[in-house]
Amino acid sequence: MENSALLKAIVDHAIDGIITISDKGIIETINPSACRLFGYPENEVIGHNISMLMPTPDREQHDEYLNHYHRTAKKNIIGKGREVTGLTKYGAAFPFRLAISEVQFSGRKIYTGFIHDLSREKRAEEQLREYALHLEEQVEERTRLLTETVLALENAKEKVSRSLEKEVELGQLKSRFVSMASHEFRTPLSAIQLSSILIEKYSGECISPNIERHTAKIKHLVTHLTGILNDFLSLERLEAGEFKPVFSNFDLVKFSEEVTEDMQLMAKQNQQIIYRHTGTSAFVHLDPSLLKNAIINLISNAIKYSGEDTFIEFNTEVTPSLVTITIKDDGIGIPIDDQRHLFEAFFRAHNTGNIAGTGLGLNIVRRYVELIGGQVRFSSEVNQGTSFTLSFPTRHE
Amino acid sequence: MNEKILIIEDNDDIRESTAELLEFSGYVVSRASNGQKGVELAFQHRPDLILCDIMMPELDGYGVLHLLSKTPGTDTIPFIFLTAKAERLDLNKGMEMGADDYLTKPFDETELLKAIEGRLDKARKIKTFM
Repeated sequence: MENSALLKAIVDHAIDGIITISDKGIIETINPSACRLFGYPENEVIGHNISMLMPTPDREQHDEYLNHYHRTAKKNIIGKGREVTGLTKYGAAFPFRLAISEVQFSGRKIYTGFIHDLSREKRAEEQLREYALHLEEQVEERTRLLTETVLALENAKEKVSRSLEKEVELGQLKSRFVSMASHEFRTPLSAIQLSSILIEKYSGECISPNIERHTAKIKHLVTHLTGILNDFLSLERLEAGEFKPVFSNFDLVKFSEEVTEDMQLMAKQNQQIIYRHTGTSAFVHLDPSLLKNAIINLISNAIKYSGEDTFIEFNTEVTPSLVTITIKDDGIGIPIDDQRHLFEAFFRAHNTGNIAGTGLGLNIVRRYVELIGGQVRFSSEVNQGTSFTLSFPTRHE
Repeated sequence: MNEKILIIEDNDDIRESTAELLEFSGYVVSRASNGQKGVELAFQHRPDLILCDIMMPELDGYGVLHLLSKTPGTDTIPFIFLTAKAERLDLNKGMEMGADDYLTKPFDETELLKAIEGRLDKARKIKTFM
C-alpha cells in the first residue's frame, strides 16, 4: 500500500493539525502537529472525548452539538470552517481555524478536523491594533499640542494687535498734542511779541538802550521758540506723510541771495555769509519752500556752531545733470563717533555743550531733501569745521 | 485820509496789541472779538482792509470771508488771515477762498506792516484805475 504510506507521510508532516473523531466525539487519530499544538502526547488523547481540547462552554456542549447534527443534519460547521479556541494541556487557550469534514469510512461515519493555528496572526493583529491605538494616541497628543500652539499664537496675535492699537492711539495722542501745542503756544507767543514791540513804541525816540536790549532779547527768544514749534510740527507732519513736494522752476541765484540776506541778519558779530554760484544756468526745478527750509536750517547751524569773526561759505552749482548746494563753516565740527547718528531725531553731538537746539534740524533737513529727490552728505572735523552738501539731479520741466 | 482797518480776533491780547501797533502807524482801527461782530462791523464801516483770525468760536475766519465775499461792497476789501496754524493745507484753503494774504502767528511788526501796506497799495491802484 504505497498510497497509504504516502498519505500517512503527508498527514504526519502536515503543518496543520489533523484529528479524526468518531460520530460519538471520541478521538481516533491525531497527527504530530496537532499533538504539538495542544501539548499532549498521542496516547493521552486517543480514546478520549474531543471536548478535552476545548475550553468552556464548547467543552460542555460538544456532545450536544454532535447530537443536534445527527438529529437535524443541519451543518453549522461541517464543510465550512470557522475560527474557534483550543485548550492546551497546560490550560492555555489559543485561536485556530477549524475545518471539519464528514467522511464515510468502512461503513461508518467519522469526522476529520483540520486545525490551522492562528496564534501568530492573532498576535500580529493584536500588535496592529496596539499600533493603531498607539498611533491614535500619538495623533491625539500631537493634535493637543497643535491646538495649544494655535491657541498660544492666537493669544500672541491678540497681544500684538492690542499693542499696535495702543501705538496707533499714542500716535494720535502725539499728533493732537503737537497740533494743540502749536496753536496754544503760538497765541501767547504772538501776544508777547506784540507787547515787546509796543514797549519800544511807547518808549518813543529816547528809549533806554537797556530797555531796547531786553525787548530785542524777548523778540529773539520768541523767534527761537517759534522755530522749535515749527520743527515739532514739521516732524509730526513728515512722519504722518503729509508733505507733498510742490515743484516749480525758479532762479536759484536770486533765491539764494535772498536767503543769504535774511540769514546775515541772524549772524554773529563779524560773521560773514559768502554766497557764490557756479554754472551758466541758474534755473532749477525743485520745491523752493522745502529747499529754503533745508538751507536756512543748515546756515543757522553754521552760525550757531561757529564763532564770531568767521566766514560761512554758501555755494551753489548747476550743471546739466546736477544741482549742488554746499554750506561750509569753520566751527566746532562733529566728533567722529557722533557722525553716524547725526540725522537721527533728537540726537545732538556731544560737543554742542550749552548751545541751544532740539536735535531735530538735520533730521528734518534730510527728510525735506529726500522728499525732493536729493541727497545730503557732510564732512566734518572737530575744531576745523563742517561742510554739508545737498545734491539733486537736474530736472527740466 | 487815514485808512480804516478792521481786526477780527477772539484773543483779547492779540487783538488789542495789534490794534495799538497799527494805530502807532497811523491807521484807524476797529475791533471785533468774534466773527459775527466782525461781519456786522464790516457791513457798517466798510474798512479798507480786514485782518481776521481763522480759529474763532461762533463764526470762524473762513465763514467771515465767505459772507463778505458774497456781498457786493465788502467783496473787494483786501482780506488777510491771521493764523496760529502753520499748516499749508489750512492756508491753501484760505487762499482758495479768496483771501489776499496770511500772517502766521507770531508775526513781527515788519511782516504785519509789509503785508498791510502791500495790500492797500494794490487796492488803491485798482481804485484809481477804475
